[in-house]
Amino acid sequence: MTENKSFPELRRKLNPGWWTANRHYVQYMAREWTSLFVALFSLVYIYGLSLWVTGSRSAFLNLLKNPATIAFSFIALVFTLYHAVTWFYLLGQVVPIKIGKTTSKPWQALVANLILMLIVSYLVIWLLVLR
Amino acid sequence: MGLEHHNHDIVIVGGGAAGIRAAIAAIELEPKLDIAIVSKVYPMRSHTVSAEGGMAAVLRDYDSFDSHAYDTIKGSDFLADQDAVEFFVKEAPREAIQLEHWGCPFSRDPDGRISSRAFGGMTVKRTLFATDKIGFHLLHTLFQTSLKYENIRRYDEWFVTSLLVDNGRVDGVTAIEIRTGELVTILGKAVIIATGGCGRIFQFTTNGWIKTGDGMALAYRAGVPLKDMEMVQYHPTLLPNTGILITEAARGEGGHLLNKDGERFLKRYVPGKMELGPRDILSRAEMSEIKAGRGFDGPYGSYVHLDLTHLGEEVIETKLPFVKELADRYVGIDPANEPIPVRPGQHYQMGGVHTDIHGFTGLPGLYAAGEVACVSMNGANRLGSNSLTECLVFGAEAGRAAAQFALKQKSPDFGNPVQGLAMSEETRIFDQLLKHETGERVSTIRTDMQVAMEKHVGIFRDENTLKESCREVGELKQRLRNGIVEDKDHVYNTELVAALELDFMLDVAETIPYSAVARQESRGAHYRTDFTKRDDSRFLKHSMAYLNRGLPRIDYSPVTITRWKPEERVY
Amino acid sequence: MDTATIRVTRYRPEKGPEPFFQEYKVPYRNDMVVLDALNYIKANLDGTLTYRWSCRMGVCGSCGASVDGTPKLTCASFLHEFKGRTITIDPLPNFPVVKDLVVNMEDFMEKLVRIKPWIIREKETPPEQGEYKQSAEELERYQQFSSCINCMLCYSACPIYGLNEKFLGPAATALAYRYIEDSRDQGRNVRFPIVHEMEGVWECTLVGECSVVCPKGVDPMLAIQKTKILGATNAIRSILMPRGGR
Repeated sequence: MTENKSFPELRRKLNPGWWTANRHYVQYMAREWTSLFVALFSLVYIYGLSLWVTGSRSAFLNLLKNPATIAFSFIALVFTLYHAVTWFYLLGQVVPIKIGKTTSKPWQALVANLILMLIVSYLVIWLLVLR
Repeated sequence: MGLEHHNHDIVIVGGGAAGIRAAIAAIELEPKLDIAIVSKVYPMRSHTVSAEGGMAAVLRDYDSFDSHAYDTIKGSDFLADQDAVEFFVKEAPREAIQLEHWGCPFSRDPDGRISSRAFGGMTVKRTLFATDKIGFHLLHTLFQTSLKYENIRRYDEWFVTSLLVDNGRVDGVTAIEIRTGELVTILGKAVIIATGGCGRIFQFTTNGWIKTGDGMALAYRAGVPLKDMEMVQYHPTLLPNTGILITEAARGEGGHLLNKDGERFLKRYVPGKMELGPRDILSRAEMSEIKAGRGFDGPYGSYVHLDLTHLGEEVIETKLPFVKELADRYVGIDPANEPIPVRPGQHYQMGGVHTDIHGFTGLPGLYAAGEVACVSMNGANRLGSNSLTECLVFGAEAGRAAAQFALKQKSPDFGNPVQGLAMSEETRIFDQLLKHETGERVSTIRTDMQVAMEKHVGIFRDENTLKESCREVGELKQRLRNGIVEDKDHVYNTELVAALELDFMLDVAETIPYSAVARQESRGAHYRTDFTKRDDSRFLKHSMAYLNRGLPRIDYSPVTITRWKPEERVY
Repeated sequence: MDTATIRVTRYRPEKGPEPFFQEYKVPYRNDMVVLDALNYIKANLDGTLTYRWSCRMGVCGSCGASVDGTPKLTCASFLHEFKGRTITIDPLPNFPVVKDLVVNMEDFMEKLVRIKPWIIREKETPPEQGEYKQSAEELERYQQFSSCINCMLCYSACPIYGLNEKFLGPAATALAYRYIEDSRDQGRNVRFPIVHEMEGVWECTLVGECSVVCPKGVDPMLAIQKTKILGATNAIRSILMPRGGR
């Protein structure tokens, strides 16, 4: 199909608000942007741990008790959970597991990974705090 | 203004199964050939794509060539040329396996071999299938395979408007590049027509929009006769209103046809084969039941039931998933729980461009294959699952024949008279047809044609309705001469294409009642209430419609009988 | 009589460089598909309205358009599926528009050829020796991905393709995967470099809308991910076993 130069084709650019057009696109953007909070939280925590490791445990605890840190951690937790849930579901979509004649469904991957996450979280808390 | 022209060795008009198969056969015979496929749609849209049931070929030990041949010949009500049928059944297995080698995802038996199912008129299971989407898989396999060859060039969305015939030889075609609206000459040492059938002449058809008989009209106008045009196949199971096809495979897997009383009424028409009887008999049976008041009434006409409820979900999901999808979407029915409403409608054209076994039309340089052609392999009635195989066998044969011819030819000249012919095409279309400022819409004339053909050239015919149809088509042709094309654009002018298609359709449509009224017997799909018996003494011959001063002149040619003497056709 | 309003975004290059809206009133029946409305308009109201269609049963792939913002096959979308009695139809996004609802699909056709969609084998056996055997399990590995009707709704739904035309895209990758997984094909080494280019599968960030709009259940997002996994394992294998191992 050769473009006739005297009668040009209409080229439409993807408009910057494309992701607002439907629910799936919004969820996609949310999933991608919440990963930013996972990264930021890790940075804050690494900084805090570095304070503890270099001797000033009290500086680390003060950082943790800071209301700004608490507020940020709360928001980061919510976003990280959202990111985790959407990623676990996505895992279920892109790596379906076949056992015999049945194929796994995405919600099954979500539930399995959530349970795994709870177990690992408990182990970490037990190791660091409860023991 | 000089008309642009291109040169190729072989020009194939139509990019469906037959056209693409011909291209591949030609290039495999001689890789240096320059082959052009000119199609008014992208090849993946060709109507081959909608075929569902399967393709017939003798692959198993329980089967034989004689059995396939006899089934086909008897199915044709003994009008098929038996040498063509014998050639067909012998070539079919190789074509099927070659298609499999090219990647067609056939359904498989536990031993890994291609599965086969029962089909109408076939005494054994020889219909190879790919769930219930064989046409889709066959077309995509062929098209994707053709992409291997650089020397197969494609003109996608180019509409062929005429054949260029000079000194009794075909030199090429004129075609409109739909995208730009420019008329271009495409010269070829050989031309193969593979444009499919003409179902859109009728109001109620399984056929897609593009089935407008273009190639039949092209050949007819070039002097090639259209053979057995009165043989129009009405398929027994179309969805009412939309006309969407419900494959014969539904019956092949065990489906039943029921009337209003829940009776398997076919026991009164084809007790031997029941739902797997030939399509012409089944369609007439359904109409008879409806006429006798034993059909159901619906907003879109009367219908009968196709009952698949006893097949079970498993069979429907694995063997008939497309049927389930169509029934669900277009009628809101789950075939595992409810019967599907069906009625007969136009589906296939047995008749078409006259060719010999090699696809040669008799006009030097011109070949044809597929539904557009009439070899004749299907005679007065085609058995289901034979036509896809027909496209492969005769598509390949026409490709080889055209290649061998082209190798011995010089390239045609774009001087006079070819250039003159192209210029007058330009005038006919752009200065005359497109320029009308007032007149009747193309769509109105087209609808009137479809309604008229549906009413007067249907499943039951008689002299009066056929003569009325001859008159009606003549009137419609006159109306089109004064018609208007609303869209005056150059770019992608679908109204202009529709007008040219209607022009083709009317020429082709005219040959049908003329051929039908001359055939004073009932044979296969051609059933006359005033001549209900088959008459071998007078009509064991092919109708040949020649264009003669604007009207069809009906002549006859003999049927080739080799080993099977015509007998009474009972199932 | 019941009516619906069809609002079409039109573009007629010979009339001007800008697209414009046009509204038409069509009779409304609840078994009408969008294509029926378009055909009614073209036959009775405005013969210049231009769009593609053929089979009207959802298998040829011609009739893609954006209906109320979602890429759909007009022959398989019922008027009653959409909210209210006004329906907006645009040409498929992410493709240049030729006229009205007809888009230029040459980019897709080029990608289709690029992934070499044919059986590649070292040795072909002649048809006389019978079919290549294939089990039901082997067929199942690629069957779903062979159902693509080339309707391009997936390319219209993909924002990555919308932002970067070089992206190989859903349908082409799904078709490449279909051949890679076909037991009769031996062309992995030929196709891997093509799909594992930068603008091959790696551009995909799992938006997933392609699989949502696909009318045939091909699930191209899954095909892309599986191709990524094949690429990753292939890369590891070629590092660990540079000379041998298949």
